[in-house]
Amino acid sequence: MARPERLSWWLILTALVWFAAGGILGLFLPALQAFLPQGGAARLYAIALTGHGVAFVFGGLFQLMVGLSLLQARSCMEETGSSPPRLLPRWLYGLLNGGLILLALANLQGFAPSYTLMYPLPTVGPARGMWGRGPLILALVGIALVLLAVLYLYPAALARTMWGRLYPSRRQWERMRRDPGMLGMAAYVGMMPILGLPVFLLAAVVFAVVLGLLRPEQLPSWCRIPLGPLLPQIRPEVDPWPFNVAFWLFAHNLMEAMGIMALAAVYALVPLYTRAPTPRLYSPGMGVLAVGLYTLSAIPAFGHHLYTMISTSPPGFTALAQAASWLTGFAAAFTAFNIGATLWRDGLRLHPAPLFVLGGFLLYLIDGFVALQLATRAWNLRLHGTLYVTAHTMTILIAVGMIWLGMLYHHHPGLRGWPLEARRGFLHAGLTFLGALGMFYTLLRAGAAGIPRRAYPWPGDGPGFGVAMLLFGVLFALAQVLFVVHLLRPPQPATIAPRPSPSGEPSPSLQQRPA
Amino acid sequence: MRLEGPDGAWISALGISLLLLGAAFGLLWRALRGARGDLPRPWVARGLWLGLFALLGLGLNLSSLRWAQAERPQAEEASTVEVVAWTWNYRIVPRSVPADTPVVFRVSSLDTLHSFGVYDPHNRLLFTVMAMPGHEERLRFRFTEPGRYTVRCLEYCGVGHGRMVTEFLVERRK
Repeated sequence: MARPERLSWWLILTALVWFAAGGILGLFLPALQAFLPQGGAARLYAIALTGHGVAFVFGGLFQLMVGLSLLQARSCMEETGSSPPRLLPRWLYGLLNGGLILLALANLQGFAPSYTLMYPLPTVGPARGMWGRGPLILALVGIALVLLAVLYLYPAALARTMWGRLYPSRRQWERMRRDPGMLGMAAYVGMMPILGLPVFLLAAVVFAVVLGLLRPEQLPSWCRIPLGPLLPQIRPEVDPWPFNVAFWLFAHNLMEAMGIMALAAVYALVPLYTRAPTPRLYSPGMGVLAVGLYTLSAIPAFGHHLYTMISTSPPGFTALAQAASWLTGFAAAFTAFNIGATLWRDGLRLHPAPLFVLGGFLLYLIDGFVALQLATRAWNLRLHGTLYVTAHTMTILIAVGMIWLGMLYHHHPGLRGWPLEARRGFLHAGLTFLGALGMFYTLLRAGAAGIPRRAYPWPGDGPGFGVAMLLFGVLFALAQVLFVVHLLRPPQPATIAPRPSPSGEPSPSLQQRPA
Repeated sequence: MRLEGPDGAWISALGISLLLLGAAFGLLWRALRGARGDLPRPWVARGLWLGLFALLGLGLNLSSLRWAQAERPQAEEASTVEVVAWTWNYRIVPRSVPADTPVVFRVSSLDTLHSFGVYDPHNRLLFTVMAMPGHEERLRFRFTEPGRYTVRCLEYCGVGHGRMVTEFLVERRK
């Protein structure tokens, strides 16, 4: 395996380890709801909840995306004449996983503000006896390392891999304008370093105040918490309003950028598995329009996370967020038409790679309606904070994960010299899709019944929903376990599988048909 | 079950998802059987698809108009309720509000983010509003049904989040 492929393989394997950890913690949650409904394990539940979110999203999904996207971006590298960056991806791997390990250690010591941190909860926690100052500082260091990796090292590594430098040449830009796959990757490079800067700076200020290097009185007035009644010895370091604006500007757009990357993967991979003599999308122009529209509208849409701050949010801010959220839906609608027309016109060859990608895209569309409900302000006020929102969050992340699993099936022959067996791949795809759909509907129904998210115990019919979530969660987990066993086995002679590509060759370019 | 509010939300989501599943599996089955050639009338197909999507958006927005009353306070005279949240409890003054009269809730927090989520006597979520330290959120609502209304925190606030529950009364005044 050549060096860049080896690093991608390490990223993928490490992602699977984090997925396993996050998955075990995730199964723990409905099990507690189902079998300890009296609420006797609240602290354990909070720790598992936080660990599940961090491990799954950052350790698993983000890292899987990094490993596969760097591989995919190498197909552009041949044209630059440069060699892929060596140090950057290694630093990225080190900082990302080092930060996650610190977060995991903090989590095990009781630091449990959930994976969205809910500032000022992390720093209020020690004063309210929820966790100690030591785990808080450990977590803040971990968060800093993860943010550096997510916001700066990964975009830099991706840019250097695609373009040979941090920005495209004129020729490369002209090519990207006609290629929605490349444009989707470029969106992450362009968006995240800028959109993440405010929260990075504010988090640094919070860290400095916690360590006693800064006093709140020294901060500018716009980020100092207003005077008002507070509990004794509780004083958030900065005003939670600007912090949450900055946080959701980052967090929402990180999820959107990962979604855009996943759509880029759909655009790039699906045409390769059609029956057309040369792979082609139905309308590359429509694809470019969709990616551009999605990128631009995603940025102001972050305000839909702040709908329940009714008086604090300016009216125009809320209206803009709602309109922008709907525009992202239009971008998804364009994509659905484009991919559907491609399949109609050119047909499809049966293979796990496109099945996973299309299955993930279908989940993305199914969840899309729920996302649009939640993006509509008045609906949001009746659904926010319940498991209805969890149905959306979990499903969109699983959808993106399925798309990246499809990319793994596609790239595997080039990575390791032999293809994954197709029949097992079909089983993997089917069980994953069924498990994900079951969890989606269960959470939707539970949320409509008013059951709050991140709460333990669930009130009312909570234990029943806990059993259902556990069953579908076990089905989903079983599918992944079977896949990992298959993945880590030594190569077997192919039975019903595409002809294996020779071992040691670099990954196929995403412009090349698989054998 | 009333087909409005959260019940309407999940039933419409279920319906749309089943339609999408049917369409997707139908398309997949046809695609696996072979290429069909260019779309017969591509612009019509595009227009229909995007038109359906736009109708969906219009429907979602129109259906939410009746709840738009849960908004910023207006000039109309209203009762005022002070709500203060902290880990993991509420102070609500007064604990009883009149039915059929606008009520303005003034919601704040003493420590971290919480929320003031109000459920009607049938356990349907009516609205939720953020409680943030250093800020006051104001929401105006008109209760039409007398009874006990449950309040739950719907913003994760730590270990005791699931037990942050209280209630208040809505009474029809003579």
